[in-house]
Amino acid sequence: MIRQDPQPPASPKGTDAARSDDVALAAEIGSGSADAVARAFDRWHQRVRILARRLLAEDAAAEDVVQETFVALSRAAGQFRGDAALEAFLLSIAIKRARHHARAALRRRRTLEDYARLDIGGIRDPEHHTYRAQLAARMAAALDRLPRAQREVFVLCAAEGLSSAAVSVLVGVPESTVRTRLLHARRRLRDLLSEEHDE
Amino acid sequence: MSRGDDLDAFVRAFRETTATPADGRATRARVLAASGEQIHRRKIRGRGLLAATIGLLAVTSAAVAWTGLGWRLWVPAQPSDPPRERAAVTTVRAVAPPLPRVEPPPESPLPHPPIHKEGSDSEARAYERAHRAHFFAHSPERALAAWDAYLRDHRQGVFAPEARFNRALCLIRLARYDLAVEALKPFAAGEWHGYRSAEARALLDWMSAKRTASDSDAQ
Repeated sequence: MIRQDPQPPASPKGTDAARSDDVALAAEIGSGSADAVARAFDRWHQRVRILARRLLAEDAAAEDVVQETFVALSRAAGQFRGDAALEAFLLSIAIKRARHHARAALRRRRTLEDYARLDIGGIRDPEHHTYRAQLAARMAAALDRLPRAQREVFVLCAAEGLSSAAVSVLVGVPESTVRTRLLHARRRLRDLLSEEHDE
Repeated sequence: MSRGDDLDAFVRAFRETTATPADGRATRARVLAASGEQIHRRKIRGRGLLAATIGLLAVTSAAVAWTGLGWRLWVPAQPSDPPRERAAVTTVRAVAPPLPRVEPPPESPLPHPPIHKEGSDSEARAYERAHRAHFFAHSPERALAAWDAYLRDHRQGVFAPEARFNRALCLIRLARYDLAVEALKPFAAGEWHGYRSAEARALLDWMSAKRTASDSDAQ
């Protein structure tokens, strides 16, 4: 089954009208409106979840990141000045929150991989046997072996489809650094995926 | 195409399989509960500040009033005062307008907050302590003690499900599998709105497989 991202990638800048909406929403959230938090959640939770999933390759940890991101938003909304889109502000929170979970998620995944190697059988999701799922699983495993900074940039550029300028805003590094990290990430991933195939 | 040099195919597959939408209803409820808690805390802090300001004003005005009163009442009573000065003070007392009545500090106009005064802050601190021991210090012993402390004091706390699940992870790391199984069963059964249920089931399977393997090794 081919699935598409529920929303197009965020542009960190956004139009003036969208930005004034964002500022108003952030102000409402900052003033303690639960309704505004709910609106922000409904609008962006899928986007945050997908990004978190791609950064962590683990659904449960991604769900925790979604929760923490929106809880953090209600605290941090007062700092939003409208220089970038609120969505980008939210994604940058999600990236930071995901960093806290990355190591723990990787450790859990390795434990479960060990478990999978025991091959004790049982019911498996039939989708896991499809070709696409296999490619995706290999990709996720290769991403686990990238340094955190390269993984973030690769996921944001290649999987989320953001420009290097947008990623530079989200990650907080110069655009040239984004491009360098992306180049290294691509090279490393090619090597990893080829090695894996040759084994 | 399965070679690594066709990176785009891997990326496409990765994008498609990770883009599964989820309704996120349980997470939404938890976000709103946590945000509501924060808002409540902020309001309490605001009220506390207001009450403190009112109290400070009351104390200050009382102090000022007492100083004036003391000046008027105590000074003439000084035994070492020369008679002439005492007479002057007496005159002042005679012509002074009546002192304003010093009102006692008002009762706090604010009702007692519906939750424990320190409840939310202490809960956040307890959670933070456990979170640090678990995710940063990577000490299962300390983390387990901290999660237990959190759950003892905040059994129905906002983060009770996370605390229970993370406690179970600590028990696994400490190889206390019987207790871990008991702790994970409710999650696997879908309690807590299905929070971490898939992972709990996987961990229960893993522990069961581990036990089977060690039993067969023993035989």
